[in-house]
Amino acid sequence: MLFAFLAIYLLTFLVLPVGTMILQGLTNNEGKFVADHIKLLLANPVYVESLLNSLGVAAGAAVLSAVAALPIAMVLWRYHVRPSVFIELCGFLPLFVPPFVLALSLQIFFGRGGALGMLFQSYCDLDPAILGLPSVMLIEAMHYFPLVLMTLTMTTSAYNQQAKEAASLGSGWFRLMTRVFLPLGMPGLAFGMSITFLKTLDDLATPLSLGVTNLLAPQAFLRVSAYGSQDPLSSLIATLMVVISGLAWFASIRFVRQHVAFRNASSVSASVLLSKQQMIVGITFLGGILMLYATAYAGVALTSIARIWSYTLLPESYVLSHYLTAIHSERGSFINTLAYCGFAAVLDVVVGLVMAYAIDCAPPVWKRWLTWGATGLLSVPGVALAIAYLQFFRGIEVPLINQAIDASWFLLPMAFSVRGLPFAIRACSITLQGIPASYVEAANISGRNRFRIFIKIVLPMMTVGLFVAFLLCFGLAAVDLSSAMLLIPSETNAPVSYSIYLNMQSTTGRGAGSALAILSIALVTLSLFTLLVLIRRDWKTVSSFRKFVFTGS
Amino acid sequence: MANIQIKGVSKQYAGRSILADLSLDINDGECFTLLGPSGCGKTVLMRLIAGFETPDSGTISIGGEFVANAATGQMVPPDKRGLGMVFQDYAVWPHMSVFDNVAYPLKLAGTEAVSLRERTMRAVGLVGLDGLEQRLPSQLSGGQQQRVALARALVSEPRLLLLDEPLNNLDANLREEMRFEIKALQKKLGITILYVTHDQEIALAIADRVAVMDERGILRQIGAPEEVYEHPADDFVFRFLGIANFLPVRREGRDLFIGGSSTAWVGPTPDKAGGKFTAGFRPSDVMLARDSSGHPGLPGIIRRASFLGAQVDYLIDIAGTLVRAALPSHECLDRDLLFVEGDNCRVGLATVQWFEGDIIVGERV
Repeated sequence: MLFAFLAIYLLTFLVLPVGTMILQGLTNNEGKFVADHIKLLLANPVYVESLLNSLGVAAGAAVLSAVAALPIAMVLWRYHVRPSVFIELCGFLPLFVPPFVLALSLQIFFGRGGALGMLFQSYCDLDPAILGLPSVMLIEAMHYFPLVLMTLTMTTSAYNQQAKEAASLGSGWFRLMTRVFLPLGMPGLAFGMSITFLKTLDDLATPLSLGVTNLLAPQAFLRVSAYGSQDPLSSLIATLMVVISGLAWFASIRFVRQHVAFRNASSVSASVLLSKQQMIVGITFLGGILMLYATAYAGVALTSIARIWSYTLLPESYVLSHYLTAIHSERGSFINTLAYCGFAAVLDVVVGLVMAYAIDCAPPVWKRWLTWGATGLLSVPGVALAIAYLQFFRGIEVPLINQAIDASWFLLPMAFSVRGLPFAIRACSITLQGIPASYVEAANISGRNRFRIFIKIVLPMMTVGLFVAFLLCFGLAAVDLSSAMLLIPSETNAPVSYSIYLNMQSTTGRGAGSALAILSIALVTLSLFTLLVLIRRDWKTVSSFRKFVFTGS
Repeated sequence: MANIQIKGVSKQYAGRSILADLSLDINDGECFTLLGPSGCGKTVLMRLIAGFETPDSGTISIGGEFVANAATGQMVPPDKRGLGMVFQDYAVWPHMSVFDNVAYPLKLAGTEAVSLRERTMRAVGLVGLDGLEQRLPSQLSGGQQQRVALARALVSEPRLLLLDEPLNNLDANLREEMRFEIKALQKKLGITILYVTHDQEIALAIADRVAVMDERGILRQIGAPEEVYEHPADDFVFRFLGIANFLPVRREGRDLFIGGSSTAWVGPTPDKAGGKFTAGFRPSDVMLARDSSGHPGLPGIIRRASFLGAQVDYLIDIAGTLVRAALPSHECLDRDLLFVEGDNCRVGLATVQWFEGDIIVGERV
């Protein structure tokens, strides 16, 4: 029965909608395969340019973040500075904060009339909106850089102490870097870069907030807005995004699945006491990065407490009223976020648990393919999934409320749940693996009632792991603006991320929008703290958390 | 009655045979240990008896009732077999207190509250955990958790107790203490125990009878601990029950020589006919003397001498074959038997197990 539920869920909310969308782009009105839409797409220079721009911006952001992360990770490795688990977790903040917040924050600083933009105005125009594509690429690279740095650090730090000892015995650092650091770091680098690529390709709000539309995601969004959900070209663009994402993800798998060595952090930290030199390196680099991001987000932070801020270096006066406005006027969007993301996260935990169980029970030959198939869900962009839903569910009425399903809020949490599923499956797998078979067999000796054993023995032992999965999925859903922008039927149904975006588009709403953004970031950080406490308490070793990221290990 | 009868049981995993046509009888009320190397299939056999696995062929009966019959497909579920089991990792549920862990089988059986409390407390007391009923497993030591598992297995008064290497995760002192406690419990309760282990010391210490299983899942010998130790059926059993020395011996006419050398054999002689034998003996069977002392014995050269506190361990080269000897330190001191490397000595043997043919697997110089 559980597997039937799983099959219905996957068919209804993933396979059939995406399959229909692909067919929509490749068939004519009579359902025959035709190349007309492809020809139409290729004949239009805007779409070809958007395709090339998307590839360039996504690849550029991934390469830029890697280029920035590699030397810093090397220095940290060279001085065997191992970031704490909390700093490692902070590296994953980009997954829980939408990049357009950074874009808007930088715009507040460097835009015309902004604090620094005004200072440099006589020399050059630093407004990110004027720079166009390069600024999208730079902002995405900057946003995902901590993720790349931390995944790289996580995969290499296991042997930095040994590397130091090897170096002291005469093995040169250059040789160690090329022979040890790079091969060790490849899975982390590949994982970080592929996530940066996929997220940049899928990002809708950042380019739109900078006025950039010549990318695939904005083009698909604009076509759906202009021609409706049944537009075959938007289907084709979305299909293209699925194909590109799929290829990028599966290309990275070869590197990500390489053996990743994790040593227990506690044993490492117990044996390594940081010297003064290492402390200086750690504080300089990690502290420097922290300062850089604090400064970058200061635009939003200051706007959230500024009464008036225009053409001055700092706000002239400060108020807290934006927070009160945000809390008061956006109460609805908070409730929406809780409802959508909560529903999606609960669904993710249930479906993730069933899938994790199915993978666990599968024969070894299937296990690997199922695991990678599940993580391959990462390659379905939010924009593509939203378009697929709009097409597949168009006009289908919900029986009791007599409302078309695509005109209701229902599709948004379902899209959130599909997008969060790979993370849920991974978290549930780790949780399931944490329960030895003997614990269930010990219960079996006394009685075979599976439901009772699940409720009395298995579920209590999984509570913390499932809560971690819930938090992860909730956080990921809360920032998924690409799906939200297409699937929200009205502003009253908007989640917080969408409200931040809308508020930030108007001059009068910037204060409240910034306050909302700061509140959201604070909530995410608090959730990370909670995650850290739970991981430490239940998953015992930090390596479990690291294994969570590297599914191949 | 809780005798176990296993007849012609086979089990395969992914085409690999783990157990083949295995038959075994375990008597009612005895403590039976199944001893074998890791991966030999002893845990599989226990899981077959518990009902967690189904045999590919053969039958298993407990107390005269079939619990598994591969031919008819009959399979009695684990909870209907009337057994208790203690796992290697204890499997004590971390979210339940000691009391709740132990009471779980009774709760499931629908035992009335007063009786449940009384029986649970009796089981807790039986394993010496009085006063700790409200503690969570995380507040207990490894040994105490193991006792909780034992109490949980005993609370429903099973006719058969299965123990799957339950002492493995304990430290040496606790392991020794617990093995005596298990034996005492078995005597007190009179239940049948099947104890699976790869540790020959535990197996010999607690068993009424021992079965030695080889790496292919074949039972090499079944018998009382003394019998198996003193009269091993073959060299596998001999080797598995402790450190084993082997010397090749050949017969020429009425005389015996070591291996292919001209060194004459001195010591107990084989009572079997044949030209080639292997003499098996333990390090503790070796009696040493100075070469100059005039004592009869095999000529040897000390290759390594290690003082281990209570005893001295020697590695001796006898006509090209290395053997180990263990002598009490005080005896070495009293009788001037503290050798150094390169010293010549005379080797006498208190007892020898004779095996036909040259089965030496030991190192030769």
